[in-house]
Amino acid sequence: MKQVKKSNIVRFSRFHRVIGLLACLPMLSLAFTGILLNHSELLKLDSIHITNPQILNWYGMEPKSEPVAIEFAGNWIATFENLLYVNGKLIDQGASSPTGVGMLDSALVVTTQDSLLLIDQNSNTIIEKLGRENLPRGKIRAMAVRDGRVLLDTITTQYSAPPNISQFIEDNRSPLPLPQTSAVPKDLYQTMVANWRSQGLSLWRFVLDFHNASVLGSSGTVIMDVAALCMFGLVFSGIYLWSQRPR
Amino acid sequence: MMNFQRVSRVIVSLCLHALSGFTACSIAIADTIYQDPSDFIDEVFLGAPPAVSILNIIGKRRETVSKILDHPPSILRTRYWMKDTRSVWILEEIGKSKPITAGFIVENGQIQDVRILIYRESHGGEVRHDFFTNQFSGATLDSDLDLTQSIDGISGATLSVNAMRRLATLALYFDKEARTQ
Repeated sequence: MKQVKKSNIVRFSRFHRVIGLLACLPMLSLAFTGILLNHSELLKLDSIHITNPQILNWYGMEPKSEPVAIEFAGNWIATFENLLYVNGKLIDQGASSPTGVGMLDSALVVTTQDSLLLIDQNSNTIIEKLGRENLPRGKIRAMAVRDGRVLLDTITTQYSAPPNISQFIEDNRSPLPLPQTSAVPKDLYQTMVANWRSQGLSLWRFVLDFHNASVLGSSGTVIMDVAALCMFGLVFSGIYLWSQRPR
Repeated sequence: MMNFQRVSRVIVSLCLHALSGFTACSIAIADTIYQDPSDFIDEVFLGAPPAVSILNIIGKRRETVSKILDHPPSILRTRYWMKDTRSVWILEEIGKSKPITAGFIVENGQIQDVRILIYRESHGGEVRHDFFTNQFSGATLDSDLDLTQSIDGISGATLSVNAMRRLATLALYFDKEARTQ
């Protein structure tokens, strides 16, 4: 009886050691990254973006689409991976393809399918952004500025607005031609890609991916599950070993 | 009796199998439009919205907005609708990496309603639910430009929650500024 009990203790000890070793690396990673994530606001992890090319390559941060661009009076307006760029400078996020460019007073007027932006062409900053609530219903297919008025076409209807773009009213005119899009110059493209890559991965995301081991893809989930099961094993085998220690 | 050597070998082989790897897949998430902003405006003003007004964000006002948002505003002016004691603001702020579009109804200097109109992130969309947005009802601004009501966070949606707090503060500030201009 004593012999059986001793061999059980030996087996449990071996088991406890093996699963402890198996779980230690994932658990150490979990603990360290957990502390960082708990204080992510203080550490501003979401504001710091990873720019290391090797890490970005590891994440597969390669663009899946080509920019859609319109050239107007020496200005390049392009959308790329839902980001709007003017002359290579990131202007807006969550943007669809550009549908028109014009000049109003000294500001660039740029439309996407669902927004209109007034952009200061010296600083390439947004003066004003009009969303769906300020635009006619329906996706914008084309826009132009003529004689100080902003002409805007949806798929079904033509509209125009005065220079202050206070209100779009239906316009009895023929539809505007669709915008001519073209490829951006290579140097602008490289600037946009570099910017897009730097926007894509925050330090918070990187730490979180280590925390849940998703840096290893689907395998990471399994590894963490196994490590967690090892923790159960550690606890129960530990309790058993503690209960068997000589009094 | 359980064979612990065998169990250990099984666990090790599971780990090795897991390490043999798959590639992670990514899912493209489109914008989720919970309510078209135009419909929101129509709903608030019962189909007869007032003429739109413009508030410039320049000078001291710009400094204050930068303080509220914790970054300079990306625009120089914003539009709003105001009728009697009510003003409506459609505002945008980046949550984690994409903008959240939200509508705010301010009545007598208090938040009356908050609505998530367009959500573009893949996570954190819990902020659209009433259990979260109802917390803003009745909130005003104190002298330090903080909300007078505490807003509970949502686990896994911290950045979206923070973005909504900033936007609510902004809506109240803009309402105050719009009434004095």
